[in-house]
Order: sequence, then C-alpha cells, then structure tokens
Amino acid sequence: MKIINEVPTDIKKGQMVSLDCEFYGQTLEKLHRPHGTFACISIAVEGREDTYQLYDTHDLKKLFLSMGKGLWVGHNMLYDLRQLMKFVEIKPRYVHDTMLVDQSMFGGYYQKFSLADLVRRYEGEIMHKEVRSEFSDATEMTPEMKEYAAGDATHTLNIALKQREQHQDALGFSAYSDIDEKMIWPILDMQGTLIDVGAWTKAVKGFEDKAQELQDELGFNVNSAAQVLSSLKKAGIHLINTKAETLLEYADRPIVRQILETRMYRKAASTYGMKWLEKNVEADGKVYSSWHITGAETGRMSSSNPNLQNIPSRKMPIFRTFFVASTGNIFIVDDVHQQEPCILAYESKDKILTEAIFKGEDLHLTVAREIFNDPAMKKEDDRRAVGKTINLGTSYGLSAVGAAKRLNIPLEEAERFIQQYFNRFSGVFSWISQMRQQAYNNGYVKTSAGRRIYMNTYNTQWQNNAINAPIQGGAADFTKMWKRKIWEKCREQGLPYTICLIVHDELGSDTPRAMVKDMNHLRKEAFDETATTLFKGIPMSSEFEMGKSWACKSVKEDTEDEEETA
Amino acid sequence: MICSCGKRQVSTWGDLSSLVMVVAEAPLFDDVKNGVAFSGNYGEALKTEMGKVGIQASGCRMLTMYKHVYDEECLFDHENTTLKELMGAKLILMLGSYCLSTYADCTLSEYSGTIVRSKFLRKSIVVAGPSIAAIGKTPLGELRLALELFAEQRRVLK
Repeated sequence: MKIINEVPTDIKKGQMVSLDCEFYGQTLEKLHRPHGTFACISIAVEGREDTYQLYDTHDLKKLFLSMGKGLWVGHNMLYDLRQLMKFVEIKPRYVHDTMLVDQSMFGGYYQKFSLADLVRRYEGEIMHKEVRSEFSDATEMTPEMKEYAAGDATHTLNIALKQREQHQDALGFSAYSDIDEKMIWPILDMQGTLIDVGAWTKAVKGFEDKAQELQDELGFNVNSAAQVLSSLKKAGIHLINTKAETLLEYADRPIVRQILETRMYRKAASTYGMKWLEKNVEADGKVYSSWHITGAETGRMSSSNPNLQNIPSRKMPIFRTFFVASTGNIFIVDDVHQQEPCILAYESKDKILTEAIFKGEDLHLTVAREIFNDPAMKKEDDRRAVGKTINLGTSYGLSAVGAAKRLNIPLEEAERFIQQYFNRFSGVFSWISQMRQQAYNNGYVKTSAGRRIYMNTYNTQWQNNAINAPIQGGAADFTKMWKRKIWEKCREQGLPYTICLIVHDELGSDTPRAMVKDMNHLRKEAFDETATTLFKGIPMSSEFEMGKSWACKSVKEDTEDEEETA
Repeated sequence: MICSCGKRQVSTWGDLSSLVMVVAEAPLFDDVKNGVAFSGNYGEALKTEMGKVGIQASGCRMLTMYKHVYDEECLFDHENTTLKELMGAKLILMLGSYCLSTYADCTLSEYSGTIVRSKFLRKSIVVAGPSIAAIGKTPLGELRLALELFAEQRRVLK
C-alpha cells in the first residue's frame, strides 16, 4: 500500500470512500468534543489500492467537494465528522458507519465493536494499536504513525465492503439505515445543557452538612460495615451485610432509615460534588455529554462523560433543577406516556389492553380490575398497586416469586394474580410464548422496526430478555425516530434544533421563548408521525412540561414559574 | 485422581486418543462435583455449540488447564501437566484468557476467534476463544466465531 499526499479525484456515485482523521493532543474522555490539533485525514477509495493522506486543514474543503458523489464510510463517524466540522462545512448525508452497522446488526451477539474487534472478526487480522497513543504527545507524524493512520482507513473500507456484501440485503439492516444512521446528524447538532453551578455547589455543601449532621446523630460511620452491623445488632436488627437492598427490608425502622438517608446524601455529595462540576462543566457553563446511538444491545441510547442518563430523577430530583434553560429560553421536557404498555399492546394485539389504551384508561387500574374481576374498582383502591406491579412486570417476565416479593404477599396469591392476568390478557400470554419460541429457534427477537436483538439461551434470564428486548428495543427505536423527525422539521422550518437531553423515553430541550409554540407543534407532529410509522393503530401520546429547568414540575420551586409560563 | 495438594482432580473427557483438543481454564462447579471436565451446564452448552458447527465433542479430547479449583500451590504443576497433554495435538481450541496468556502469550480480547502462535506448541494450530465460564453470561458471538474457525481448521486437517 502506497500513501499518496493528494486529494483523491474521480470519485464515482456510490463508490465507497472511507475517512479516518487523527489529532494530536486529544484526551480520551473528551473525544466527543472538538479539541486537539489536526494531524491528518486518511482516505481509502473502493477499487483503489493506494491510500490518500492529507496533513493540511486547508485541503479539506477540496477533499469534501471531490468526494461529493461517493458513499462516505467511517468507523464511529460521530467522532470524525464532529472533529472535521470545526474546519469545513459538512452537509448531512447518508453515511456508512462500520461500527454502527455492526452494533445495529449484532446487538446481543457481540459485546465490543471497536475497529480492532471488527478487523479481527471480518478479516481475521490483529490490529496493534500501540502507535495510536503516540498521537497524544506528538506534534508531527512519524512514518509509523502515517502508516497506522492509513491502515485505519483501509481496514474500515474493507470492513464496509464486507458489511455491504453480507448484510445490506438482510432484514436487520433497516435498523441501521432507517433508525441508527439517521441519528448521526441530530446528535452532531445537539446542544449542551446549561448548569446552574452556584445552586449546584450550594446544594452539594448542604448534602455534606446534612450527611454529617445525620451521622453525628447516629454516632457511627455509616460507610463502615462493621460499625453499622454492630449498631444495628444493639438495636435488635441482625444482618449479614449492610448492602442497600438488605437494609431496605428494614426501612420501617428509624435507625435503618437514617443510615440510608445519610448514605444517600453522602453519595450525592461525592458522585455529584465539585469534581463533577470541574470535570464536566465547560467554559460556556454547559455540559456536553457523549451520546452513543446504540449504547445497549436493545438499541437503547446511552450517554457518557458525563452520563446524563444517571442524574437522579426520583431519589434526588433537585439535581435536575440545576440543568437550566439559557437566558430567554424555556426548558421543555417530553415524556412518552405509558410507552412500554403501548408497545406491548401493539406487539401482542391484546384486545383488552388495546381497548384500555384507546379509552385513555389508567392501565394499572385496568389490570387490577381484570385481575380482581371488579369493574367498579376506583383509582384510590389499594388493589391498584397489584395491577401496577403485574402490569409493569409483564414486560420484564415477572415471575410469581418476584411478584410475591414485591407485593409482600404469599407465593400462592402471586401465582393466582399472574394466572388471572394471563387469563384475561390472553393476547399478551400468546405473544410472550411466541417471543420465547422465536428467541429459542432463531437466536434473536425483533422490534417492530426490524432490529434484531440476539439472545443467549444459555443465560438464565433469556426467557425474560426475549420479552423485554422487543419492548425496550421498540421504545429505543421510537425515541430515535422521533428525535430525527424533530431535527428534520426544525431544518425545514428554519428553527433552531434545541434538544439537549435524551433519557430513554424523555427528550429535553432548551428552547427560545418566542419559539415555544412552534416547537411544541413541531414536536407533536413528529411524535404522531413516529407513532404512526412504528406502532400504527395504537394511540400513543406524550406528556410535556415546561419550566426553568429539567425538573420542570417535579420540584415545587419551579411550579409557580411554569404556571406563569403556561 | 487426587492431586498432590489433596484435592480431587477432574478427568479429561471425550476421545483421549484424539489429536483435536479443546482446553479450558479450570473446571467449573458442576465439573468438580461430577469429577469430569465439561460435564456441567456450561460444558454441555459448549458441546451443543460444537455440534452446531459440525464437531462432535465426543470425538475430541477435552481437558482443563487446571484440574481442580484454583489453588496457587499446584498451579505450575497443572500448567506443565496440561502442556504435556497438549503437545502432539494437531488442532487445539484454547478457551479463556489464562490459557492463552500461559501457552500463547497473548490476550483474549485481542486474539479471540483467530489462530494464535504458541512457542510451546509449534506443531499445533491453536484457535483462541472465550472462557467457558462466560458462556451463560456474555453474548455468544465470540464463542461461535472461534468455533467456526476451529471447525474450518478441522475440515482442512481432514
């Protein structure tokens, strides 16, 4: 292989052209942010033996013009495109991302999808990445570094060619072409989220003080297992360990509650303390997470550096109040209403469940009514809790043992409830059997968008996973398609794309006040189109809230302001 | 058989005269209980997966590098004994990172599903694969990739 220092020309329509860029001085944790100094871009062209390599950013414009007709290929293109967009305008287009293709096609079948993993699997070769680390300290490229960079582009092209040959016509490829690939550009356009650093700092200090105060009252260190066990023993509680789940069983005892509370404040202060702020808040006061299009085998998105999907929402909702709207903006949070039961209804075609969704009923109550054969049951009835546990548990393959534990009832009673549920929701029962059969026979289950999720039938959880995967995967497909449609509509209507957070079925956006009405209309339209495309016949809806921050109405302080806004 | 440390060793399974071998790291709980390598759930799962690529496990010599649960006292002896068993094999499926680092000086993450070189087993073709203990815990793709290569090499040998 020869390395040519010039812009490739004569690229034909649809000809695969792989790109791989290298930068000096980048830090691993911030690869999702443009930084470092451009070292080179390597280009491999389908049908050509030599690799092109350019070292000057001034050549990039010419390069992208020259490649206009080709099909761009890359491995983790979010990285390359984001870095390159700093130097040259790149318009959205269809690309072939080798990492994303394999993640979309082999969710649950493979665990790792680095370029080295794909080279090993597709080409049977071993890629040694030692040279890669040299880029962090270097200021110019050695011949070995040039060869390494060129090798990345060549391998990526070879893999793309094999993927095209092996998978392009396979049914599962639509998960890439229709869903995951379409997320690349909306992710590149995603905004950061503004942080109220002052309020965050004050709260953390408060948590530290509160933890200390509670611990002083207790008189022992809550993080010392020996001290906790001994103090609990004195209080007549004999435990074998001090894990949260063990302590939770005794949460009705004040001493245990206080231990758990102290730990909660202490953990919040350490996990989301000053270090978190120093590490993640950038000069403009915003955090920019690295969003992964297929972060889980079901196709669910994930987030890292920092992981914004982990910000506590129930236990410590106050943290969400620190993710605030920019000056003159409003924070809008959209949440899909009863998403999983809706998908279950679509997949199972269960008549009672579908009818209840159409009527806009409280599904937990519907399930409770069916289980207890009491159509007049009111929402306030305690038995609704049984309906809720069974309703939510179905999509996770909840067993009688699990239900008995959660509801704190005898096993026989739990068995009876589940039996009654399946008698009444017979469509759900048939669908569950079908999914398990498919998983066992084919080794995978599918979402409504055609995403294959592979099962390991030697795993003790596989029967539960076979039910959960199409639902969780379907929800992930929904969120991605919805987000893409919002992005498309924003572009069509010349509106700014304001989405800054994606947490499973929840989208957060930092929207200029003047555009709230337009944005709400646009988001609703995008939502309805997505629902019709993926889950036709099921009346899906989203709950939307507005406020000063991500917390919107979940924290009292925001309520008044939101009411004013509304 | 009882080890010098006093623990009961598991016995090798399959065709003891076969020159096609499968070597895993250590016996799992059920293997120890049964006294036979690859006789527990995961061993059976491996045999099923081997069958899917056309290899009858009973036609291979299936052994573990360590003959009982981990014990530092006799690790080295076991590694040597197993190496002697492996010598002369034409084709070896080597499962797990300990096996690979001990006999082929390579890592599983980098080499899984490929043919690796072993300075101790120069005459053998060695295919690297994931640990048998991972069968029920991690996706099956890497194991199947290794098994396909193993089956392909076996066809070439025949």
